[in-house]
Amino acid sequence: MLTTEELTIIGLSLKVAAAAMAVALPVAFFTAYALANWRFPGRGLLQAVTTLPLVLPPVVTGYILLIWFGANGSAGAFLRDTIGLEFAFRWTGAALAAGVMAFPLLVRPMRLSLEAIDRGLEEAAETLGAGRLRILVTIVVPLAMPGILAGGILGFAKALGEFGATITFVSNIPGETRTLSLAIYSLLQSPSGDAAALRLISFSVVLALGSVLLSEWISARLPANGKARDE
Amino acid sequence: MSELAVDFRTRAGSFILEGAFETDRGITAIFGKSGSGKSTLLRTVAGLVRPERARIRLDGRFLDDTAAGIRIAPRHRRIGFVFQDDRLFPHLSVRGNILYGARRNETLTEPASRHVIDMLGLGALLDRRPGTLSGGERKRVAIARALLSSPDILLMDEPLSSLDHARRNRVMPYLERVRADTGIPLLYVSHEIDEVARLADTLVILSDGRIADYGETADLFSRLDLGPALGRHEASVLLDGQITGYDRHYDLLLVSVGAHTLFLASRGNNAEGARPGQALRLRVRARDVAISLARQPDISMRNQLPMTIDYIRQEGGAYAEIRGRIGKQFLRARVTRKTVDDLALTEGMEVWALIKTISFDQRLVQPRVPPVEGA
Repeated sequence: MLTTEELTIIGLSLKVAAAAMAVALPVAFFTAYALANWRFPGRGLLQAVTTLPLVLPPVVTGYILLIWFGANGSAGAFLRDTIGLEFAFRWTGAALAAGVMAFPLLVRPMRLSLEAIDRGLEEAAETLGAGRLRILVTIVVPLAMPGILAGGILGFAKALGEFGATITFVSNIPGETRTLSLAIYSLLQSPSGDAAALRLISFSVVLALGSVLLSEWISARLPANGKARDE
Repeated sequence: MSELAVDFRTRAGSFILEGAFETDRGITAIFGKSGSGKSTLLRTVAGLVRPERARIRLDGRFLDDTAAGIRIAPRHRRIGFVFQDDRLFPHLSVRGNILYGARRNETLTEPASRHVIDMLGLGALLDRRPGTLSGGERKRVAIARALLSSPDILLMDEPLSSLDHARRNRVMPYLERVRADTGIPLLYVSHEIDEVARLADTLVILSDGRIADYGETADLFSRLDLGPALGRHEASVLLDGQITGYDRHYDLLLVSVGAHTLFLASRGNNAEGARPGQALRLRVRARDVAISLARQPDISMRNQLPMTIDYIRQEGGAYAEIRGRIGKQFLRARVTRKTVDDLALTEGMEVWALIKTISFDQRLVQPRVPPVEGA
């Protein structure tokens, strides 16, 4: 089956994707909520920036991350000096790249779900004495759950397979930044790597298929927005 | 004793609604045509729209006082709002819905919620999702949810308008029970004069963006000048009466109105459960009342009440409205102007009002339960 080296690659990829989602999900939810509910100056710009990683060449996104968050980047230096968080040639950098690239895929389904919520329900909760936080936790998040899960699963799959931005930003270091896609790419470059590449490819296909099926299964079990289901 | 005093001006787009009214207990109906601003008034009291100016006092505390810079957030107003479209939370069970606002009141005890659940007949529905409920059931859940948030006042925005006639008649008794059992004052928006006649203790009439008038329902019904606002065809008065007996042989209820007795068909008048001593509110349409100068022994209309003509209103057209006094209550009759002249009817004259038994049909005769004092 899989060799130790391949297990390391898979383990690293899962770690990178999980870290990316842990940070990106809440930020994406807040962004989606703001875009769905609030009118504020710069809303159009925020919307454009949110979509940007989807339309920019991944290499460009990686290069921008390198400039800002690299060892000499302003944001990178600031984060290193204040909270000791380093991105350059680290798995954390791979997670950052994955999170940024997955961000548009997270925001869009969440936003659609949030926009479909009847604002009257929030008003009703307000008359029942609920504050903003309680309304968010008990009404908005549960009703937006199909979008959150759809976005989360889609984003996780994207983060797992991210290539261009990652290799540009944090390079291809075995055990540190060599995630699934990078490993498959490296193996295909070497004459003896075909068999190992095939195993990782098979694993990727199974994982991708599994995520899609899981997301279908979950959304079939959730009460759709506004329409409750019969038992 | 709960008391609500409202004085406000609210702008919604180009529409401006303003006025003032006060009410204390029982059911207060806000009546007006569609688009007269009934919902805006209710939403102003709830704090869901921001008024241009408002002074709203509930039980001695101010919910709004723009002059003093006071504006309480909706969630701190202790109001229960029953929305026209229910707004039940689709992802929560009936239990989750009705207990959503219960957190507000830490002292809410199990028996208290049990009482509301029983009163509204929700016991068997607790584990269902709102999407599986009928319209009438959804309405009852919405009412229970509002009640269990322990409000100081209940606001209802046309709670029955989305129901068909049969369901409406099934839900209305629940509202009467809320009124009788809880003592929570109820502000109730409606454009159905039937519902108002049956339910309301106090009436607030909205017309052209203003509060045209407010007061005790029976008083306002007897006012001839409010015809256009109340609907001329349905012009009617409310008579308060009391069941004094039942004639088994003829299947008739005996109802006293002041010093006089009326005979009503018991069938179809919710006679099951009708007991002597029970109060009734009768709605009598002006067009069902005939006038005679003397008592008529040889006529089929057996309900004959002596009354003193109090006011005659002659409008253009064929008809005139006559208001007569029976003890402390009023009756209205709609007759032609020719009748007024032929009989030489004048104000202060003693005449007899003749009413066919059949004109008190089912929806016109409603059991009255006095509202709970204090509570």
